[in-house]
Amino acid sequence: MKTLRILIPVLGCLLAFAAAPASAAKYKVASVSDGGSISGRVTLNGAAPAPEILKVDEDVEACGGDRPSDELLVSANGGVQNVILRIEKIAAGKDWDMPAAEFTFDQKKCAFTPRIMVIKPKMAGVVLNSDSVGHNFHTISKGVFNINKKIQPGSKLAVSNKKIRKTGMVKAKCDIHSWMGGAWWVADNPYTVLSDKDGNFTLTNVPPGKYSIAIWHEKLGESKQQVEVGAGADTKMDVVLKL
Amino acid sequence: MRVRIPAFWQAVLVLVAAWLILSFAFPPFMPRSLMISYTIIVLAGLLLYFSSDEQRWREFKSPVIATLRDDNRTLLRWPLLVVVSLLPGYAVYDAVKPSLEKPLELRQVHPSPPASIKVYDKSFDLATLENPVRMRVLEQLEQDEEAAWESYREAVRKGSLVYYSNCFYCHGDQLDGKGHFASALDPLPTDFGDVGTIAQLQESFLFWRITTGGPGLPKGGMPWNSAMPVWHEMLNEEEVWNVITFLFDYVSQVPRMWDPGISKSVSRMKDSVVSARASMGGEEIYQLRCAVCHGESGAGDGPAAEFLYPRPRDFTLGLWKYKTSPGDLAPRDADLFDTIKLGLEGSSMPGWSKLFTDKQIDELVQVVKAFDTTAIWAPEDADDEAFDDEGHYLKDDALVINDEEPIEGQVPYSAESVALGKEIFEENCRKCHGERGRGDLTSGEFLEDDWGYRIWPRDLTQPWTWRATETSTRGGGNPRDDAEREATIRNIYRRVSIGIRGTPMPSHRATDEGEEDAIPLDGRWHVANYAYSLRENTTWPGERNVIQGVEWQGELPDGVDDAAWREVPQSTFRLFPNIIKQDRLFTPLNDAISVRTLYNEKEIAFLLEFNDRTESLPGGAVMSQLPDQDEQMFSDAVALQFPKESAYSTAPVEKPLFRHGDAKHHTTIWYWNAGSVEPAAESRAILFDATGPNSKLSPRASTGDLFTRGAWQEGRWRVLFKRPRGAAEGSDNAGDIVFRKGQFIPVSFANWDGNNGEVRSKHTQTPWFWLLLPHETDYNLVYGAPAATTLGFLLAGILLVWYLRRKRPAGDESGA
Repeated sequence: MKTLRILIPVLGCLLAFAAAPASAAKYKVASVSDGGSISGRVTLNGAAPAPEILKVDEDVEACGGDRPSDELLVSANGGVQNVILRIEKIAAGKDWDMPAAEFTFDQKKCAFTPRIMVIKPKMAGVVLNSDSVGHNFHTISKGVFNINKKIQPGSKLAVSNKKIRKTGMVKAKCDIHSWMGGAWWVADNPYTVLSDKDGNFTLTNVPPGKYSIAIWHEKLGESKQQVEVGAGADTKMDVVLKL
Repeated sequence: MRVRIPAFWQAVLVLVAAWLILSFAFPPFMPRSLMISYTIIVLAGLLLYFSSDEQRWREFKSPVIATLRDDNRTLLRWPLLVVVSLLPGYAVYDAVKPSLEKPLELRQVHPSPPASIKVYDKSFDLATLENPVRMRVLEQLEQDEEAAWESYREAVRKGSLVYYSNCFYCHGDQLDGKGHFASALDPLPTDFGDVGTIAQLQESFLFWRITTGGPGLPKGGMPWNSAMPVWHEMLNEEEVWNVITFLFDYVSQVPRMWDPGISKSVSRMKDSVVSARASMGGEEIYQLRCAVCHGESGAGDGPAAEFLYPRPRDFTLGLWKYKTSPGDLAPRDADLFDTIKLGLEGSSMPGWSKLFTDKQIDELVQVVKAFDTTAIWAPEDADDEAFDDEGHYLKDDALVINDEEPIEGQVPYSAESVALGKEIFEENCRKCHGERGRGDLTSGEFLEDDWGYRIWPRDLTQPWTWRATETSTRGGGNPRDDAEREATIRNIYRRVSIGIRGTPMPSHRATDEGEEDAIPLDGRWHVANYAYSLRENTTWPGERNVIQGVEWQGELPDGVDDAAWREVPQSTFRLFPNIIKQDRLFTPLNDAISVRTLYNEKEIAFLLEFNDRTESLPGGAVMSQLPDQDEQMFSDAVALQFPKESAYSTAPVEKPLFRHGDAKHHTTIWYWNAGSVEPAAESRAILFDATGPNSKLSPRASTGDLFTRGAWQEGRWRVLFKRPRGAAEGSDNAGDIVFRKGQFIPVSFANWDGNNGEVRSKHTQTPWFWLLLPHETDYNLVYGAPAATTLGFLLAGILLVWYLRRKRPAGDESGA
């Protein structure tokens, strides 16, 4: 990770995906009739590379030793986990069907758990520290949720529902343990999903029509695919990410 | 009736008046020796005047003779004799007492220019040379006023770009000579806003000064101390004239011109610029004064930005470093106001109080807030239509944050609190700020700000680099005063509690329900006290500007840790990067260098100490994560420079140019390099001969008698240089400086921070400073000579009295 460090400003990269223009009309919940679905699987255009070994040279006792990077997780059958897929610019559609409860973002063995998560706007949650060492929990975003707070062992950070102000990308890091990486996507519509550990995903109850699907992976970047959803039908959309 | 002053008292009055005029009517630089000789001339003139006439002479003498002779003056006579005898005694003491006053350097501020100069392969006659850019504008003015103004504005705009990518590091954002590297220079860069500078000069004078730089100065201008580059090597003719036009425009002055007609037109143009600027609103002021660094749309991307570390603030992302509102709240308007008004020390952001009124600053605060695209000042219920596509809030009811971080429970500064603070520091702060607070990242992590630019933890032992926190550098008083200390500690407390947004410095106070403080209230004060205490062993730059060697009995130390060094006072000097000669360096990290000097009969030793967050040994494992990927890592290095023995004098002062000497005045550079792991190279010393700014340094085949040793520890290099005080006759080193007692010797320093891409000409440096190995105090001389003088005068006085009384005219016993 360190050897691949790119000095192009981080924000420059993440903003491409992050910036849902503030002026874009807010998503409206409406009844969906004859909704279809989009489902598929995310794979790679080649063999999965051996994960980079992250050097853990700080607080080794609390964190555990060197570890393979979990930035790019590929299952035995080639599915890619932690890919965010979402319909772009959809004005109205189904009701929010994401888990209603608070989100929990933990720091365990000096790694963020889960590494990637999708949350609703104005969702409340908590950032925990299950480690025996303190973390400098530091988020980077374009005004979505910016914080840099020391979280002591066993302590927590409360994220009230007013704190997450916008939709878009929030990257998490710890400035003491630079191998720690993670991200939250604050969804602007409920047609936003994360691929599972086999790379599968499904977007349900989609009003019939033509859509642009934005596909994001932490390491492999962003791409787009066009898809047409028929009334009541399941549309297959397989995604092949370029290494 | 007219009162007539007796002749003697007339003379006394004239003498006193002359002394007062010499003391006060001239600039405070009149040297003492000059004053004494002028006074002696006045005295001689008075004596001549009074003795030229018999009558006047008698009148002049009579009170003197009366005092020495007459019986009724006994009470006055003897005390007077004692006082008169003490005066020459004191004068002798003054002359022989050990003096640490450095040699006087009287610099002509406006030396007379030569008749002509040769640059750009042309000869320019300075008497007739005018600014062609301005002449073109004036010609156009006759035909097409609009076009004339357009080309004037274009020249100023281009000149501004030249200025902000070349000049402003030294001459300052406001052209007041207070650029961010200025404090390392002596003399200070010219303040163009001072009406005594460019407003008194023809533009051809500026053309001469700019194109030929420091080395082009005549001796009276002390070229050896000037950091002014030879700009014709780096700027073309057009750029020089544009920047000259810009200088006059910025400070609203007109150059001196011979032709009254032309001068009048130029003044008229200036007046119209001035009146237009008087009515500028915040937005216009921003675009004129601020956009060059902060960018037209406030994104911190103005043309000067790439030359600056720290970079100018990007106003669009809602991340503000120095604020007093709690937690992640937007800054208070007062925070932005203070930053504009007072500036941020240790950065290129000046305080604007001289140029802007408070009302204008208020307007600028609103302009700055309007650049935000993250809605931090938008009301919570603002609807989407209130924002434009980029996210700027468009309505005029932007929030004003009033909440202030509570400052309560301050724990008084004490050894006990500092000790408690140290424990908390080690637990929470050490990984970035280092074991001793030098910002040396014991975690070895590569830190970035929220924009992805590399950022370094603050060196807590060097408070002059702190921003918005150290009050003594923010218009406050003496940093050693208690009140100043308490105020500074409160600011450190704010940084600890709130954090520094947009950087890796986190907040440590809980602002939300259900959370607990990362460091409790008392602990935050303890750690603030501890952070303050880290300066205790720091010598501030400027505290001791003459380096005084300490004489040592026995062998000089071979190591940097030797106890002997603790007995030697330290002098600290600011470093500035080489902006003089290509390839230049604009973003240095190491800020200051300290030196201690020991000597004995045979040898002299220097201990150079400088804080450097990284031990840069290419290929080394310890800091493998720290190098920038776009910068090759080089070895750290440091150097001392001395003139050759014959290349300087102290009365009058003459030295080599401080960067590598010049053709007539050569220097020797004692260079030490830390070496590298891959390729394997030991640390090593090299002696270089420098023969001028344009000739390559030539290394000597052998380092001969130079002994060096270096060690990096906890964010600091300590490097020892040791050498005989004089070179052996006929050796390679003949001609090098001889370190004599009582002799002021010029010395300068250079430093390469290899991790910051510094190599060859990219390095930091100091101008010349003075080194002195003080004479031992010869008590026989210092007290004996004045005593003997006084006694002699007293004896002569007694003899004179005896003689006068014996020769007294008969019948004058009473003296009445």
